[in-house]
Amino acid sequence: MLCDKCKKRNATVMYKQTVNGVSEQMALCSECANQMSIGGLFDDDFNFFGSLFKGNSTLPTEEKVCTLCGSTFDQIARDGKVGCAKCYEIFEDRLRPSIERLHGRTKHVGRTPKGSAQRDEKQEKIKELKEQLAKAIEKENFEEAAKLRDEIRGLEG
Amino acid sequence: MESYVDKNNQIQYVISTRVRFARNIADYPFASRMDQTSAREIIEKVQGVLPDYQYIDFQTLDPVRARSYVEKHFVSPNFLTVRMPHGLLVKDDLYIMLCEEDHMRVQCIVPGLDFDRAFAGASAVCDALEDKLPIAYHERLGYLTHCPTNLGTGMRASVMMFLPALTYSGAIRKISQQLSKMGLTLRGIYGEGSEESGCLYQVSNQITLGISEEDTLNKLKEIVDTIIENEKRAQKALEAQNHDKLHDITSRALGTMKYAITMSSEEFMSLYGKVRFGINIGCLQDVRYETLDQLSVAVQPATISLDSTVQDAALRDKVRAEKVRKALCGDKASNDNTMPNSHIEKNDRKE
Repeated sequence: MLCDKCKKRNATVMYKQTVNGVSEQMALCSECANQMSIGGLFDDDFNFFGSLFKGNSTLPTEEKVCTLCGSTFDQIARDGKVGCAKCYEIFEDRLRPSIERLHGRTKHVGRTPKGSAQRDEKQEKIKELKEQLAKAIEKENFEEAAKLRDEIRGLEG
Repeated sequence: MESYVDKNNQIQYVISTRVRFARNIADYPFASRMDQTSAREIIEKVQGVLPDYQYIDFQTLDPVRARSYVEKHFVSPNFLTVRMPHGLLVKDDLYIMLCEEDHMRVQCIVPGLDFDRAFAGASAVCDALEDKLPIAYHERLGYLTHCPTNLGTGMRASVMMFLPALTYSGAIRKISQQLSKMGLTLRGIYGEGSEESGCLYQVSNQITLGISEEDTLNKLKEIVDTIIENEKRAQKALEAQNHDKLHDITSRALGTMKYAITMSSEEFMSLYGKVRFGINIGCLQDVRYETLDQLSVAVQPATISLDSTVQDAALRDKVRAEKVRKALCGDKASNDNTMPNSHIEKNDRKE
């Protein structure tokens, strides 16, 4: 039997782990078992994602190849790891169902890498527009309110 | 470095708090598709942004020394298997793994319960990186990571908790199942199955997409407070049932620590749990949390071998017992009150 982790060496030990009360058993080679024996702080996902992908990888589609790293979707599904940032664009449609299963959601909320100053500026602007919107509604100026609403939506992405 | 036991950081129940962000540089392949040149370039670029950090090159680092960094929880076990150039940037309570699963794993580790400080520390590093480097980001998916389990914020926040009463009463299993329904994870530290001896657990968020950093931290804070309340209740219940018995068990554990001639890692962790519990319930008064917590790292196999050039397991058990004896017998006299950062070996430092 091959090791469930490296898939290269022969498995010599059975490794059992219990997370959130759910036990999982794996056959490991001594080297991989040794690596896993301590350091439970690092929750590496043990190709958990790869197993999630399996349902998607059988879809009959033409073989696309990532223009930056050369990955195919089958490789990503096998590794459970995405090849590069570009892969997320190229294989977006096929990755989406698995990402949704994994997180329950598909839209990021939180920090953006535009620098904290710009983030604050944007939040300020949204706050200002929301105040204007409330005033516009109060004055029953619905045309203006609709415009402001769209502008806020645009900023909130 | 400030005192280990300070303010109200729940040191009785929380050993440390960690916030880590997974970040990647756009236009470079992720780890599994990376070549040597890319890895070197990434390391150079990050070093360029953070010039005042110490760099520890793991590609050339002695394996025992590398292993001891895993035992200190500064790097992941996976970090030791990376074949490309990789290393750790260190400054104060910040530890940045370069070219692990992601190009950058920015971590801030602080003593006790302090999500705000850990978050502020790690965020500031991310801000500095984002100012100078193009970070892989997608409008809908957030920060892009090698493994999609980290997509979105790329943030994993966790606390290392000491929960003896919940462990001894068996209630920990129920809590663990409830947490998983809330998108959080609770797992034993120091190997599965042996968690009951050390009573140490890690509680962390599982979901990173569709929930902001702030909301994730608020949820975790709330849960950690609830777990602490449960631990206190379980402790009171145990004490009410049999205070003398607990006093006896914890005192005997301390006695063994102070006088044993040989001690395995497993025995140490079991005694650690009992003695630390003894301090929590007020039975043991001349032992300090920081002494025990520092020992729990210092007596791990690789770290012991590092200090004493001992490779043989039987000899290691003797050295371990000796270290424990010395630390506990001299406890009142000498304590430097510092966090494990002092474990960074001088020899590893490269400015």
